Amino acid sequence: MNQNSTPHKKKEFISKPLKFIVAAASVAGTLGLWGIFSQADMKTATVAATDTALPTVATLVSVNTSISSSSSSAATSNSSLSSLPVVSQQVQSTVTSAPVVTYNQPAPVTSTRSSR
Amino acid sequence: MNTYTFRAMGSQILIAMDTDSTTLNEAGLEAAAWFEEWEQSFSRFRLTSELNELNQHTGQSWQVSSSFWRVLNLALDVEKKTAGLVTPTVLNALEEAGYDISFEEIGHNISSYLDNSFASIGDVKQIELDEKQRTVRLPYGMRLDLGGIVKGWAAQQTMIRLRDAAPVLVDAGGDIAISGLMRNGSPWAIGIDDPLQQGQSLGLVMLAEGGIATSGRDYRRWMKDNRWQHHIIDPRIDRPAETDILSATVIAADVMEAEAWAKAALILGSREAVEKLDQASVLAYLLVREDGSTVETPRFDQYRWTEKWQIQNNLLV
Repeated sequence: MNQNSTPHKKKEFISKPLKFIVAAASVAGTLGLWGIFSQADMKTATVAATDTALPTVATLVSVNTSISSSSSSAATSNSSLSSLPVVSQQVQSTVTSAPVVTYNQPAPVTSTRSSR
Repeated sequence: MNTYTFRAMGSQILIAMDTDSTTLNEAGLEAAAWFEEWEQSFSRFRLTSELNELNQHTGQSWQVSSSFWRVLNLALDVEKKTAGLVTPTVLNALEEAGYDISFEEIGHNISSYLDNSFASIGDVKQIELDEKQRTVRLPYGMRLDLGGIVKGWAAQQTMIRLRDAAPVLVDAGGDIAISGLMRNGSPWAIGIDDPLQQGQSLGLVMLAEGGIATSGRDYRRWMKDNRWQHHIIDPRIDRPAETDILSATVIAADVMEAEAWAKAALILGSREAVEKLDQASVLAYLLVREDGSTVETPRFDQYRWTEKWQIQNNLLV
């Protein structure tokens, strides 16, 4: 039997160019929003970092330094919150440290003793 | 700081001058010659010394040199000031205690030729002096020893003779005379040897002028009849002082006064010494007892070097 067969053609409700346009717009929109929000974050972060009146900035810097240095100097050291007292001591010494002048005992020219 | 050392009077002599080494060497050579001359006058271990000649001519008026005259009068002044505790009439007692040869020659078997009797010391009022003729007449049997005063006097004389050339310190066996501040305005740093631990120090004092001396029974001592004897005679008992003090260090206006009061303190013992030294014109003192404890006047802190002293005096030493 000879049958005339015609290939099934899927009906397209949305054309390919339109799909491409929608996809491109979606990607562009996502990237654009990301850029806008990230720029806003950068501005906030910059303002916080340059504001020297905030003592927390200095404390945080010292905390990070202390933890990294203690973990590198002692393998068994714990960088959990329990180590914070050590950090606070370091912050204190940094704030109050001043040049300490030490005097060495002068060398005696001679010494007194019973007659020799 | 340049120093020049030599041996004289049975002791190490040190000259420290705040000057160049050439000037110091010239000064040191001169000082050594002066000490040799004085030793020839005052040594009891040189048979031909002026002292021995005088001691051999008791009962006669004997003319002495001007140096001898000055030192003898100084010794008599010291005897008066210390109420007879430091007297030049101790030679017989010293020899009876075994100190009849230089300390370096004293051997371990000294007790074999000693007896237990101690000679009477004698009264200095019996010494007759004629200032015009510069003669001395000792009563029969009295013999003098000026060793207790002459090292301090020699240190003082040397300091006076050299001080015009540069600031100078003269150390005669631990009796130290100082001319004044060093050229940079600093005082002289002087250690105090620990009599209980050889090579250790009890601290450092900073002296601008005057003198410091230490008298002790930690070094010049020897064994006799299973007892330690030493060279500091107590004229009240005519024998080596029985005292709880091992060494006494005194700071005074001059080294001779420091030396005299250091000896007097050692003879008296710590309890009486504190009372006497507080009344005397000494500037400060440090006594070391046999048990290692120390007694010092509060004024001693004015001289003792500490960081606090350094800050208060604002000096770069």
